Amino acid sequence: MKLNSEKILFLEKIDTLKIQELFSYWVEQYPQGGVLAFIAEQSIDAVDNLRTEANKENCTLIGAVFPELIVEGELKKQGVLLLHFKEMPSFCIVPLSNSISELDKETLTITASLDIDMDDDEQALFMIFDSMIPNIASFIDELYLKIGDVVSYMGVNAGSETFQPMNCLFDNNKFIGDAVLIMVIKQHHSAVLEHGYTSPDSSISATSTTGNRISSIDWRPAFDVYKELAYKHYGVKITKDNFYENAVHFPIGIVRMDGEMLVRIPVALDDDGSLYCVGEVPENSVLTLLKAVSPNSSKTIETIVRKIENQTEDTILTFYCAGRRMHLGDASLTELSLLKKRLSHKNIFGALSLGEIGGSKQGGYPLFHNAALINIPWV
Amino acid sequence: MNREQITQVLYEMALVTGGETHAKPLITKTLQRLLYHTAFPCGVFISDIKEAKKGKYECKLEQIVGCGNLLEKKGNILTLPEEFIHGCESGLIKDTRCINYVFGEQKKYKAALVLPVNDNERFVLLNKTIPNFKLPFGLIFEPILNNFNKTLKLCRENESYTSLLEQEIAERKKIEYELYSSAQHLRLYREQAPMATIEWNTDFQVLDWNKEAEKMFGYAVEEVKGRNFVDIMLPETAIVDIKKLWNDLMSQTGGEISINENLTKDGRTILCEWHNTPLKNEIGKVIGAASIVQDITERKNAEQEIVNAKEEAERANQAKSQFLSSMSHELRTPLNAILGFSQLINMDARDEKTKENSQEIIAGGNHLLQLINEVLDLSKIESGNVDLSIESHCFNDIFNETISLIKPIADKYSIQICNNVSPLSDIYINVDDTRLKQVLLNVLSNAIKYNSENGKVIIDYSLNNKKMLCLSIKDSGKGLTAEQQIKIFLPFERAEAENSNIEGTGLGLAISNNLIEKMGGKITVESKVGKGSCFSIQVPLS
Repeated sequence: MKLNSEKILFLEKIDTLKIQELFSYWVEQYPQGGVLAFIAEQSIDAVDNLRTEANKENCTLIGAVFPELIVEGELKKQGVLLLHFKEMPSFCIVPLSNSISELDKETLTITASLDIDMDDDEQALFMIFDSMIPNIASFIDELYLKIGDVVSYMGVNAGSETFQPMNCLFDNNKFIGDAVLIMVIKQHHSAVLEHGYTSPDSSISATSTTGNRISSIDWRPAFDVYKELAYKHYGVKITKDNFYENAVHFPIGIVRMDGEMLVRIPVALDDDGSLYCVGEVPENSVLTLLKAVSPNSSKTIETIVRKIENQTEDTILTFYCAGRRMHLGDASLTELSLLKKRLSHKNIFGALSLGEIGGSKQGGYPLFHNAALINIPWV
Repeated sequence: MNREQITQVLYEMALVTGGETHAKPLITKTLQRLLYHTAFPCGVFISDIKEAKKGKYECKLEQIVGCGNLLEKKGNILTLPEEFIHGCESGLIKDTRCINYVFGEQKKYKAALVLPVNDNERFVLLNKTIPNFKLPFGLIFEPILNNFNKTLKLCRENESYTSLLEQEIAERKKIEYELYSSAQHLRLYREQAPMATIEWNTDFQVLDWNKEAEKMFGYAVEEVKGRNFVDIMLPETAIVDIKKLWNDLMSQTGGEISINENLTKDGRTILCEWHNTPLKNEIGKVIGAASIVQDITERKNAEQEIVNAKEEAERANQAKSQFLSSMSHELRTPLNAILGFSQLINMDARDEKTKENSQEIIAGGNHLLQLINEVLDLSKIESGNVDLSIESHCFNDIFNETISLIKPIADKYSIQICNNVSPLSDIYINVDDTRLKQVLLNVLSNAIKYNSENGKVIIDYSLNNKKMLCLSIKDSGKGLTAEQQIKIFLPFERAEAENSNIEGTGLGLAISNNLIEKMGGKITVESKVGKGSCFSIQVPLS
């Protein structure tokens, strides 16, 4: 399906000849340009094809593998989405050690590699992390200390929906995992991130956590407290056996005083009753058991549309959390088609993501979320 | 957010501040938590506030989170208006001019939430839009900021102690890591070592042994732990000696190395080499021993085989020398008879034919006699039975005698001998004079025999480091190829033997080389095809 030959192209099946012609054309027309590619997990073999063709044509290529792609409000299990830049933005792919003590060094490497104009207020950092990185929130805190509000922050996690380790980030020279791909997008304000989850009034304290593992809540094994709350607030009996089917519907929220909260979807359970979430949970955080969005609710999409409809860009890069899709099932397709319907004058494309970075307010402190939609007006 | 939740957040923040021991991360973490809960994107911590002039204050910009444009100003002095000191009721300053005055116009901050810590320090949270928050943050955070103030004061006061303590902790951790690491390495080496290692207690009971020991003796570690060595691995014949050795080891009077027979689980007897070390506790008391063991049964067998083979070879060599020696004797006796009677025939011969024939017998006999003498010489040298009488001799005497012997041969072949040695009269060398003469005659006769027609033999000398006399004999013959230069010192190898009529046995240089070496000297040759050869003979000076 051809969306816009100058800027965006979706190929459901990999046609090497077509890719070669396209890269050749883009390189000839825009020698300083480059390509950002999103690959559906089922088409992961296309990464090698793309890199081979890009290297043959001397075309700068970066990209990531996501569980599925979004094309005009629809989900695609296979295919390749190519986003062309007439002038390739400054970018880097940096392997991360997953160690808190290395964050200072790693973020310094990134700030030294990127071309960030400290006097330009209209630039954004677009980050794609391997979803297996356990300390993304700490990484963003450290990066924010070094760069601050000179840029706005937006990003997503790539990888497999099964959360199995795999290589998911690439450029012309490498195809790796445990890394982050960061681009500096010029003349960009920020993205809009919403999840629409609400919380009951009661809250609890995460008394012992390490990274994305909650060992105890209110001094008791985390899972014991979690299942009591699910029963108390929603009447649902969660056991070790049905944990994996139910946890996605009852995510944990990290409470902020201004009323907003961060969603953390529990994805694994340990024998000692520890819960593993997608994303870090700082020790002593005030937590709550969230009420997930209702399948019939259009509130999240309406909020996004309200914030984005007047922006001038004709295309919106949309990332939809795979955890949210697991919770909503087919209703997630309804949400996406509603988004496309309400923004019918814009192209909607993107991918299913495994964690989202941004904020509901423009220029806010960058935070790591789950279960959210992030919409990025694309230049 | 209800009252209970607010209390919980404050408790969370109190724990964050309470867990820090250094001022810098304490300030940064608290600032980050304030931003997180208020949804302000950035903020600063200012310290050392003092009044510069009426209504204007100065402060130090101590920490920045998020204010990218201010990063380079960290540590700078800022000027503050009155509002930042005394604040307004909500703590939120919305006066852009007032904010710009502090942070500069280009920063575009429209709201500043001032959170006083004490008289001299403030958190200032900044926003590019005016926030619409429902909670009185200034009031809510007051207890937590009081708590922060106390913690910050403690951190600063105890900074040097904290640093020292941290250094000590780091040092201890390093040592613990090194200990752990070396224990790991030791375990690895022990398990991977190609030799058996065994640990004992003082009662000679096995405490532990590695896989190689299991392989060597056939017992799994569980089978031998706690058992006495004498009961499991010693043949009766070795018990007394080994018990003594163990007592020596425990009393540190010996027993470090031993070679003895041991029994394996399957009843074999193996020969083992033991390296034993007493193990001591921290006060130096022996608490056991560690042994490294090698099964040397095969090595010993192999060594014995080598010894046997050597002895056999020596016996064979002796028999060969004896055979050659007796054969030479047995050959010489009849040969002398042949030579003697052919000379008589030659002398009595009346016709030319008989004279010629007898002459041929004499020449052939002489050649055979020389060959037998040289074979005998060589076999004597090789078997080490040559007796040299090395004494100090005047070189000139030996040399002149040799020249006088060689001169007629040189004249016969019309070869000119250029002798540059004659002036040497007072040089003494440590040689067997007869054997040296034999060597010189051999080398000089070669130089004459293998020379070109009307050629020259130049004899020269030098003294090497006052230790050696070096005599060089240079001919003007055909010269030698590199291959020939190596071969000529081997028995029965003659240069161009197949293409020449020159007589010789091919043993002369091999014998000369051996003799000179036995006298502590050496013979070398330098040669180029077409340019002649130069033989150097070195012998030790007296």
